[in-house]
Amino acid sequence: MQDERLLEVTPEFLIRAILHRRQRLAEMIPKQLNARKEEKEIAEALARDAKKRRDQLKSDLDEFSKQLEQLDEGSAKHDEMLVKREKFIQDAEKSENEYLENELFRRRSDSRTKRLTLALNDCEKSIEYWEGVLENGFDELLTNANRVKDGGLSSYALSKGTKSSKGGNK
Amino acid sequence: MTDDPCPHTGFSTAQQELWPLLHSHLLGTLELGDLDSISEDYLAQLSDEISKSISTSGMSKQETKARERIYQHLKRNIENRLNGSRLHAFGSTQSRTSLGVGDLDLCLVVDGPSPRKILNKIRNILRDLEMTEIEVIGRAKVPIIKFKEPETGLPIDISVNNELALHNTELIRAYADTHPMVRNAVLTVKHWASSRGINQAFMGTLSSYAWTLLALGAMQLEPKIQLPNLQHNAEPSILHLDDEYNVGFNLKPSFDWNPTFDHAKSFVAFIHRFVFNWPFDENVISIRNGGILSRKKKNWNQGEPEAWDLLPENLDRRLGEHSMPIEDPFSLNHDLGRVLRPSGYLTIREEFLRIWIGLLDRKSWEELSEKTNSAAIEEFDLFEDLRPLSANEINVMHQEVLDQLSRTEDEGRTLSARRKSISQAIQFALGKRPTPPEGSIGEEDGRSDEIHESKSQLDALKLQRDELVDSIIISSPKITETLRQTFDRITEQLDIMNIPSLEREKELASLFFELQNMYPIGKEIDRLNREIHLIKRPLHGNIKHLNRAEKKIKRSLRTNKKDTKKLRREKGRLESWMRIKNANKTSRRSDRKNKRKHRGPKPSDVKKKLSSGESLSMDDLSTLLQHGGVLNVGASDNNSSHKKRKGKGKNKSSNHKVKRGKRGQAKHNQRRE
Repeated sequence: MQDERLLEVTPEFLIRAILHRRQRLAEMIPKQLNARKEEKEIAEALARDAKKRRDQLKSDLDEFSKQLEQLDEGSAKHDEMLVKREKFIQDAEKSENEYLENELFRRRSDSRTKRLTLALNDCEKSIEYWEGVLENGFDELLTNANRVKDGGLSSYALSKGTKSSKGGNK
Repeated sequence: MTDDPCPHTGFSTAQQELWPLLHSHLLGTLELGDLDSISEDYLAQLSDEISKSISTSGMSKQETKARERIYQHLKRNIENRLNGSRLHAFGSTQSRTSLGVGDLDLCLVVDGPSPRKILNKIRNILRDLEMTEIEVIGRAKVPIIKFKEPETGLPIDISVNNELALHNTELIRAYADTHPMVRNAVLTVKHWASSRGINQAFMGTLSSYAWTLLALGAMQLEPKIQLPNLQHNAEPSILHLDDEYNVGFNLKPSFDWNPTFDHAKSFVAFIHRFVFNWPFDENVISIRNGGILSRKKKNWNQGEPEAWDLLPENLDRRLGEHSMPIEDPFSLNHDLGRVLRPSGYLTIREEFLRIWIGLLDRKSWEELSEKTNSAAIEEFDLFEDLRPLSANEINVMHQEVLDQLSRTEDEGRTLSARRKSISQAIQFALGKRPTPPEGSIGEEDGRSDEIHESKSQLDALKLQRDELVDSIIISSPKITETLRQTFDRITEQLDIMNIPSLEREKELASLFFELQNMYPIGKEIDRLNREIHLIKRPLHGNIKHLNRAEKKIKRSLRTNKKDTKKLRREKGRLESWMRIKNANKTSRRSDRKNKRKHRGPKPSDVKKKLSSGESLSMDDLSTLLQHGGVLNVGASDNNSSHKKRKGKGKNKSSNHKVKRGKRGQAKHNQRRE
């Protein structure tokens, strides 16, 4: 929009534009929210399974290690179990990584879902607020504008004054 | 008498009259006698005369103090204003071989720009210090600035980075310090050369410094003196200038002066050497080499033409190089005899013969060192133009000078006031002064009114603008830019996961409406700025004009100051003359009782100044007046009580003949080392 046209933008026009944007969001968010909820359920199931597997492997490995400690070092059985133990360790690590991945996915889905829930609430409140403004008037939003129009200080000047007075107090 | 030149010598008739002894000597008709022809009793008497003559020459304590004061004043000012510079005094005064006349030689040692640029800077400093007759000679081998100190009229030269001269001075002083008789011998030679007018390098004879080297060289060569060579086996000290110079010398050699050699004997030995054993045929005078060095070794052959070859008609031509070679002790390629012109060379030869004949004829020192026409100082009477005038006419002149002085002083005051007002108007226009000028600025009053009006408008507009700026803080372009950004943020497509809060939306909307109202204020500030600019342009034009007017007035003020000074001098001169005239009418007894004891310079010192042609200070003039004018100065100093008794009741106005050397003559007496 050209600079001059910006000066012609009325409060009502601007608030309707804000309201319009919020309403469109309010329409879009529920669909997204449902999709995120489904995704979240899947993620939770995956994470739960991965955790179970990891815990089992960890317990098996502890048991195996105890058996190994009881054997004489250098015996044929001991050496054979050592090789097996290496494989156990590799499997445990793999299962740990799988669990971490699934847990991350679960957290992300959870966060998105929560965010969309909040956004939906905010949109509803915002629509309610802006509709109220359209109905009841813009006075609250025009406080600074009216002060400038009446020859008073702009919010920049007030902020500068506050800063300098703080600086002065220092 | 015929106009044909002499067939044997080539001298024209006029030249035979100018250089008679030299002509006779060349013809072989001059009886020169020998050293034994000069009797011991005559030499003893001559020695006394020379001794007296030397003791009365040289500078008075007062004059030495005045020179030191001037030197320190210049040193302080120049060194302060030219960072890292050092001003040194050099020359005969510093080497203690001065006859008490001549200029003050100073040398500024400074790194950086070319000597000519430095001289221009010095010129500005000297102008600020109100020195007079400032002249920059930038194209000389050693660029210098010449000027005069206004109070004493002392001529001063400042050269730049002429460091060799400083070392030369130290060397000559070291020689002079070897024994008081060495210094006396140098002074005797210089006194004779000065009296006979053969120490004027600019006139084609030798410089005073060259005569000093000749005197020292002769003392080194004289078996009965054997002045040591201070540069012999001295620790080398290399000075890096345009070339490398070894300026090392021994400071305190053991040296005992032959007690049988008095003033006259050392001088006669000097003259005898140059009359009977002219050293320059085969040699170069070189004190670095113990007095003499062969031309062959030095590779300084006699150039063509010699002075004799140029007789009778071509004496204005250039003399062949190394005709009378004198080596500078440090700058070994510098022949101090290069300034000689043919007639100068012949005059020097004539003078050596003249003094030798005079010595044979038992002439007194006064006769031997009698001033020549060129060396004699033309005296003139300070009151010459006033003497024939009646008291009434003097009074009229005095009144005219007073009127003129009063007018000039009034004009000066008016100019000063105008300058002050213009300066105030400029300061006011530049905003460095809260109020307009107090007084009128003459022709520029119209401009001042314009400035005043523009300034008032400007101040009002600035006040208005500053108030608006203070109320909104940000500029018009910044308002537009922020307005656009805010609108975009409010209306842009949003990322569903990154939606602004309701509070943020409220802030943006509020800011947008505020910016809409700030916009016209920003535009008003722009308009005011344009208006301020439009007013400033002619205001700056007026400031420029006033600056020019101020410069013009400054010039007029300088002229006025000069005129005022001149008129005050004239007033002082007339009043001095009137006091002299009136002195006869008042009782001398009561005069003596009431007269403050004179504390100025000694009359004998003033007399010395008079005879040397130096300029006189007001104190000197006062001394002259108190001692009855120039003719009575010496006498009144010696026999003042006797004279006072004798003069009681007599009208002595005719004896008040104040004389002094012409200022212009000082140049002819410049002696530089």
